[in-house]
Amino acid sequence: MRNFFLFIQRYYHLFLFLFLEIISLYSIYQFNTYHHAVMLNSSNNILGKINEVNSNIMTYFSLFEENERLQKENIDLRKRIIDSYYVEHGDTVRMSDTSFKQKFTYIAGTVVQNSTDQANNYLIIDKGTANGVTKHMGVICPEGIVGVIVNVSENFSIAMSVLNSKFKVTPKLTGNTSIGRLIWDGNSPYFARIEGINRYNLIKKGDPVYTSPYSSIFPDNIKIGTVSESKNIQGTNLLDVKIRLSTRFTNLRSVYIVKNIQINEIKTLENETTIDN
Amino acid sequence: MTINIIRHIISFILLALLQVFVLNNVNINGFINPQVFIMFLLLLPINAEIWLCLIAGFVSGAIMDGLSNTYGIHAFSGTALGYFRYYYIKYSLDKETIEKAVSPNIRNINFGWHLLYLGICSVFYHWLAFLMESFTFAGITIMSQKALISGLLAAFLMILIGFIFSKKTTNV
Repeated sequence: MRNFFLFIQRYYHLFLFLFLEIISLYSIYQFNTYHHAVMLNSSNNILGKINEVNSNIMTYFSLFEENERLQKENIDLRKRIIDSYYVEHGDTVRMSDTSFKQKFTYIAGTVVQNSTDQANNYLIIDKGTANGVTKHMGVICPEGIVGVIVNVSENFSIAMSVLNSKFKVTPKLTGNTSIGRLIWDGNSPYFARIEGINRYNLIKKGDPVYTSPYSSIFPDNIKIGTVSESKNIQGTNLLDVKIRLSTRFTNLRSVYIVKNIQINEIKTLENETTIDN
Repeated sequence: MTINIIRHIISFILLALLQVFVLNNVNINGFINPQVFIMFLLLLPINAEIWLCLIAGFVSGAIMDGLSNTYGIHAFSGTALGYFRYYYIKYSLDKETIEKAVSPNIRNINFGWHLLYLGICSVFYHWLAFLMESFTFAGITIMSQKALISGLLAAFLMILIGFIFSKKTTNV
């Protein structure tokens, strides 16, 4: 017994080292299963405050660019309003149209914390359940898609960014019928790849890539990026397409959270279908 | 003695603020992110006991984890750096120098040793942190390149900070 204590006394630093490393590994493990998002809720007050101060300071440096970006979007939207169209046939009578019904609404938010240098990147947005944000809502910005909300607290929400190995979205290429998968390989925050495209599709450099209408999270035709390179994977009939993301993740400020009004209906339908099987 | 402890704590607070408010927003090329707060750990007195190095590494890492939302990564690497640092000093300096019990900063110890010490410890730390963050051995070459560049950049920044703020101290 005495020897045992001597042994512990002699190598106490090794045990201390292992003990501390195991604690750290345990918390890394938790972090990998999104529990850090839950942890944010408990330490919301302090961290949220620090992030907010940080973001308030940082916003000033990009005000000019931000204005320009919003202006561009305003122009885009202005083009679509009914006043910018003229009546081509004099006999057409306009009346309130009931054949269109709204499917998506938007909640404007500001990014208070963002990362692009990690293997799995997340961003924190200053809107939470108090503003009607729930899990699995899409996040977009004037330039393109940003990510998906994975956790919400009362005043903040965490979104998984496109720059995350777990992020999934179905892209749509012009003049192409096969469905691929968008993948981020963890290197550059400016590029991503599309896998699973058949090589008989004609894909040119500079082709735009949009979100497809199959998603219940993102509206149709939200920009993802442009094709920058496409080459054949040897020994298969698939293409490896590299795309340049249109969203600049290193400089992200104003975002919109997309709320699908019909999501509950879709979810119920999906659940019923699986039960029947 | 007490004044020295307070001085180390204040230096940690200042380094942590610099890290969170400035350097975490500096992403050169999108993924080079130097961690300068480890300077606090590297500048503890050279005769610091091993338990002190370990606890200081763990606590400072855990605080940085909380502030930059990376739970566990910095705590893990910080603890390992504490261990590494203790043996690095023990085997690279002679007994007489260690007994002087000064902080191994740029003015107290010869420049060549200090340079190598910061460089090796910083690259070690960044490599471990990047490994823990990606949590896989796939793509380890690219990850090592990132770690090497970030580590050397951090060492360079630490030397600049050392030139500005370090003072020659004679005793504890």
